[in-house]
Amino acid sequence: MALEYELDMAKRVAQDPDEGSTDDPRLAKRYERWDDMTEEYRQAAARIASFQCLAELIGVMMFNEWVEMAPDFARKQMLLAKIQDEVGHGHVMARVAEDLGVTREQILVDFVEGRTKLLNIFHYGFESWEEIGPSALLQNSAAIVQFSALQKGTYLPYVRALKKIDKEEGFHYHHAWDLAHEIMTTGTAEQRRLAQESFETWVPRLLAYFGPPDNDTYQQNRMYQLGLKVDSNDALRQRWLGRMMPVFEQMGYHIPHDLVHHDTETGTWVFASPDWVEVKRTLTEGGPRYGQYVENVRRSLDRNARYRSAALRVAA
Amino acid sequence: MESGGDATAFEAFARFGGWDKPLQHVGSVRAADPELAWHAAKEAYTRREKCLALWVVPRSCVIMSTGADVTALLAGGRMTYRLPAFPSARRRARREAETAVEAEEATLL
Repeated sequence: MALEYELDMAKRVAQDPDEGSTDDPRLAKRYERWDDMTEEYRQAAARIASFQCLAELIGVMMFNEWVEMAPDFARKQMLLAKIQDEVGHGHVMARVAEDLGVTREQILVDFVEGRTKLLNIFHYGFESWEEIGPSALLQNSAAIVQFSALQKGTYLPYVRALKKIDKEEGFHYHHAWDLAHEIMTTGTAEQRRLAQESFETWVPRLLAYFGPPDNDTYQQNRMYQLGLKVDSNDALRQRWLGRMMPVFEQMGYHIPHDLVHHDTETGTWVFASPDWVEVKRTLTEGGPRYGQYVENVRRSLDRNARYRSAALRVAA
Repeated sequence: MESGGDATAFEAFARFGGWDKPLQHVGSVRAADPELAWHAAKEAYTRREKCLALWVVPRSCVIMSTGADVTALLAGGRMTYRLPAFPSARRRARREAETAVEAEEATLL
């Protein structure tokens, strides 16, 4: 019963009002690995799978640091489960990319050598345990909203991988909700202050995560035209705000009017625009933890190089 | 059809929920040897479900259908005589035909 409740909660976040509408001609033709596709399409599908593979692998590093600092054993177990899930998602996405000709090694080497960009939210770390709950909940819910939309995309192996991933994001959602909620209900005043601060720090980062505001030409975006990007950035942002702001409000978080509020007249969410110059700088020059995460991957590649090549020689 | 190729890719199959349930394809892993592949599949695909069986198969051993086979695979649906509704539809058609013949005969008499 309890588990059903948890899953139901995560499902409500994922629920898409347009679900089932397949009248969009962009999304009508879907591809299997062996189908004839243009080289442009193949490369775009490989890029989206590689990009997500990297995001899954790097995205856990900020959590990984807290395993040894978790305040109790159950929290440590839950954190480990999440980390293992995310690394598993990285592997699942790597398989999709590999079948399109991009090796997992290439994905990591491209990152280490600075050829690929990392999602803005993964350039940071956590300064306190209290910061983790609200931040993880904002991250997970944004991922669920994003992935649910992408499941209507046109590359079927990627869609199937997302379905597996989405289910586990539901567990993470509940874990994060529980943590964000626990601090608000049983934490000290100082802990609540830190959690509130985390919420206000991470909302703009997540608003930026959905990408720049739609302009008049978003329908000319090739990923959009190919049906690998399904919804517009603004549509996803609005959907996410609509689902999550009430959840945070109910937990006792204060939502500053200037940061986000619902405009009852237009029925849309109004929010302070993220500092796009700063976001762009983070993406090109790297945020506070970027260098450290790159170094983690570089060390891991070096450390395992001998074993990897020996294993592959045996397999060949 | 085509061979799966790719010697270090393994396809994973699992039985979830009960021994009477079929093994279903859950995804694939990459590993340098079959035992490592099994462990990788266990970690990636059987994390919370009630999993009762897990198989991994080297992709190179799998004969896989491709888009070109779909027409043949769907052919069953065109063979209406295999479907459960076929006998009753046939009975109805025969009865209608008999009634039509009888009616025609009646006009001839």
